[in-house]
Amino acid sequence: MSIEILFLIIYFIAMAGIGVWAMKKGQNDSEGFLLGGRSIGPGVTALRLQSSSMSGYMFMGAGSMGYTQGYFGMWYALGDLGGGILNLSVLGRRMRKLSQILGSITSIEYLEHRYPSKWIRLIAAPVALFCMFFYLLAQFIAGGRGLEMVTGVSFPVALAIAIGVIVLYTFLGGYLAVAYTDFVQAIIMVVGMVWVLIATLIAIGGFTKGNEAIGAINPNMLTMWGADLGYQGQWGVIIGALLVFSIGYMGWPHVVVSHMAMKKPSVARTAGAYSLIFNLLFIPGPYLVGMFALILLPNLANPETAIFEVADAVLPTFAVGIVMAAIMAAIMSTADALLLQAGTIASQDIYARFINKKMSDRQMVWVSRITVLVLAVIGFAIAAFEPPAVAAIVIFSTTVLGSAFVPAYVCAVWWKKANTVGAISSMVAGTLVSVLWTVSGAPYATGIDPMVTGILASTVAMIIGSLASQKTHPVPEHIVRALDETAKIGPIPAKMIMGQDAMLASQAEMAGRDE
Amino acid sequence: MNELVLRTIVDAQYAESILQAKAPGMKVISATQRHHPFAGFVFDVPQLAGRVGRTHTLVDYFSGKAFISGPWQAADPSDSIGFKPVLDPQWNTIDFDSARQKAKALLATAALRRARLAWKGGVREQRSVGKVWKPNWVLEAQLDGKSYRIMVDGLNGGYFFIGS
Repeated sequence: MSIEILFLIIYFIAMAGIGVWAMKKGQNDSEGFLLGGRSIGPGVTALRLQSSSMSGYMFMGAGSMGYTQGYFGMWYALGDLGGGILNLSVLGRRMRKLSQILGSITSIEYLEHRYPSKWIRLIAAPVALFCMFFYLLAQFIAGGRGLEMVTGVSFPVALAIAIGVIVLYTFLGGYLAVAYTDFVQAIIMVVGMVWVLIATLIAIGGFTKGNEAIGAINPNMLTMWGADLGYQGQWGVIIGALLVFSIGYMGWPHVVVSHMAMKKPSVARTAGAYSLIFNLLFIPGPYLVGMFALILLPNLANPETAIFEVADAVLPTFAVGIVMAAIMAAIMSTADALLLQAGTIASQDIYARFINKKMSDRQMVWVSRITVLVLAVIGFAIAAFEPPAVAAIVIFSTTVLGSAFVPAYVCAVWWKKANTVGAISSMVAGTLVSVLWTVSGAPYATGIDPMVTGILASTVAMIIGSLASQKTHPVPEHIVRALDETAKIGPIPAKMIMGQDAMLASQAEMAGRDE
Repeated sequence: MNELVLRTIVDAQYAESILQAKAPGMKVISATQRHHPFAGFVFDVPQLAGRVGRTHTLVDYFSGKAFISGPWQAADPSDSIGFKPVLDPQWNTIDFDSARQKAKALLATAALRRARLAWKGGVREQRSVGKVWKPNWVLEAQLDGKSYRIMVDGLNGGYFFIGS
């Protein structure tokens, strides 16, 4: 057994150990078992958010982008750097508070409560499932590629093992992933990435010499306009690259759901700072390592394996195992969150809402399990025979999710006039425009990224749809009141804002009216 | 419909001291107790490794919001002298069956989020209470010349600003 595989096994055992420790420590009663979901502090909130949104893309797609396009990839990195803090700042506190006042427990249900209509769920749930499937596919492929490289087995076999491990992890999640494994995985990801980056810089003689060497290979790589300067002046593409991982995050149901699990709304501020620190340490790494791989390994057959190959070349053997663990951590924490969210959407947002309103909790679990298995089988069937590029899938699904949901989530808490008609128009327009723009090849013809057209279309649709239907579909009174409560942060003494218990928001509203 | 008034754990003086600990100059002018109505349910929730935990849930009749609570402690009959219920605003009130569904959905979602797909389901209702009255304090307070109305949770001492 190679030392890399040994380290991977040690990693999985360590994760299991944390799970068992957490289970014994905190689950003597169901209070501890159930309350964990809404007792999350800033450190864990930030790192869970980041580890479940930084996926296998960072180790494959980002490395590939650095390898093929040089500093152009930094546009994506720049958007990504601010994505976490933007997400927590814009949505975090208000979404936490509003979801609590409205009594929402899933991110799609939250949209339906804020924009009351069954059509919201009928549209949002399939769109979310569709995009999350593609995103999941990328995680499967990334896991398969990683295992293929470490173990030397063929890609379909490695893919089957990777999917098996991911699905098993989700099924056994309660035993393996209770409590703080996402948090630990985020730390492993940072350590692994920083380690590869430092070792790469040492191997190439430092950052300056690395840049000089890249300049000697292709000076265009040192610009932010792409290897053939093809993106020079293509601001439509560049704005899209900046948007996709900055505001795009705010449309991901499996990411925004973590806002609803925070201990209290004020956690969002500190969590934003922590996520920025995580991003600064983690995000530039994959793009830089991918680019410098061009010096160390100039003839890679598949640029998506750049980071794996560099790690193999510059790190001691045992460290390669740790980096592989970091990569699997990124993949598993994302895939786990995606699978669970997809199962929840299928069971609660589709099955319980439209097929069997009296669904028991046992049926709910079974619908979730079957959904997960179906997604895994379809994912294997697609990825095993003609695997698409990880970066392309991630960017596509993020673009569609962002275009479909960002205005709906943002306006839900920031615009009182945002109503059901506006939200439906926005989700439909965002999805259709971003998908059609992509499949029609319009980005190449016009130089405008589908994220730009998608967001623009969904935002305009939200504004026009809401304003045009204020008389026929006014925002219900209880939602206006909830929004007033959500927006309320002053005039409260500054030292007392942070300690407020948002659980009391609706009770305070009623008692206040009553006096 | 059976009813239960929860025992007040945080009295008016303690509520005042909680606020003064955060804002030392705060002066409390008055404290009025208000009782907020919830539907109460007790469930047995299967956990991992074959264990079963008993969980109390409260569902706010006026907002539909479900909470997981600690075990309920009934108030002494003498406490009912100060009983003052919050009036039904009638614009967002839910009925008992809806409250039951919300409580079950909360438990199932929380368990699934926690245990992932290893959770097997099987939540069983053990007891229900039509109305559980939870005590809160509404305090009129002053700080730096400004007046505030603040709610303090009569069970755990949490606070929330009603207005100023």
